Amino acid sequence: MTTQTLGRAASSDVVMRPLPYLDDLKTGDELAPISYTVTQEMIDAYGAASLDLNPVHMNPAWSERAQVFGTPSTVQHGMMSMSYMASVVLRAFGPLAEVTTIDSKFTKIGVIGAEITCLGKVRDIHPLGNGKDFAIVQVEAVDMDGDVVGVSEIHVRLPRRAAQA
Amino acid sequence: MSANTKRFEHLLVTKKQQAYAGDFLSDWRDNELWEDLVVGQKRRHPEVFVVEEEDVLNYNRAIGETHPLYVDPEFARHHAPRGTILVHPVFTTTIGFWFAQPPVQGSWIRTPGARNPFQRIEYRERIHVGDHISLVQENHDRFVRRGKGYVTTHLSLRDQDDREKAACLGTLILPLNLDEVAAFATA
Repeated sequence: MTTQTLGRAASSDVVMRPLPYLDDLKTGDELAPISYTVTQEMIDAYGAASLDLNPVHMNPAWSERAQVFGTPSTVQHGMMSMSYMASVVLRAFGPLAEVTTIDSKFTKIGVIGAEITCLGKVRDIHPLGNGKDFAIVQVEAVDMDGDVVGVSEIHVRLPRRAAQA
Repeated sequence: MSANTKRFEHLLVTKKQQAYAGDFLSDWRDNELWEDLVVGQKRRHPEVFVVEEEDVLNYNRAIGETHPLYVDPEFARHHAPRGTILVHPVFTTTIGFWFAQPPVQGSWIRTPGARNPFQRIEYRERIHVGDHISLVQENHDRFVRRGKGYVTTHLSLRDQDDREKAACLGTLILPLNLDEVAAFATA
């Protein structure tokens, strides 16, 4: 079976592209990845935006003393990791894609300097009918050591061609 | 602002950020403790979170979104279904932390030493700029696994018409008692 990579195009002419049809997805299809390097600046911005100002993220001096995770570094927010994993789906399918569930586990901390890549793959396709058709995308966030930092199961509702007729 | 928040104070620019109790190391004694949580306790928070454009813009930018439907209000006015920038699904985090300012139920989310193992969010309808979100919170579970204290809360985010917008099952690993919290908070 051939698979395809979804979401690579980024030019201005696809800014308002329509949602993909569920019919066009295949299990195993890969979504364009998102990569980032964890910096204190990113953590600070996320902490301010999310109001999660816990010192384990926001206070390097305290983190060095407290070592909540056994490391002297601040760590990225789990919810920041969850946001990026969700964004893999939203950037591939477009911001109007309707995410209905995000189920995430955080398996390794993301310390300052960690290089993280979020990889998404279509796992299941659910052609339920009645406008409730959805796909499940499995997203793994992997660091530069190949360790899984987080994993998310993301349900996204998509239209079907038949429903458009 | 305190010495604990001075380093990032320049990032607190929205009305909610500036009014927020942002020093988690100063009010930790007011947070609920793992050992005191009562499973089944449920309450509707008396406050309402009004989703402002500046809150959403701040969140979308912080996670690196660049699509104009997320970060360009003028573009969104012409192209978004409601004419407002889109709310990233995990923006529910901001709503949850805003409601958790001590000493309310759920303030344990701010505990120094807390760790985040897993989260589940189910979305019934999109959240939009302009929505008035209220919160119904229930202590869902409290358990020990491999010697660590876990707590799971159920958050029901409801709009101005009392329709559920999202349901979150949020779990944290917490220090088990006041002494353990103090060890972190005073490190």
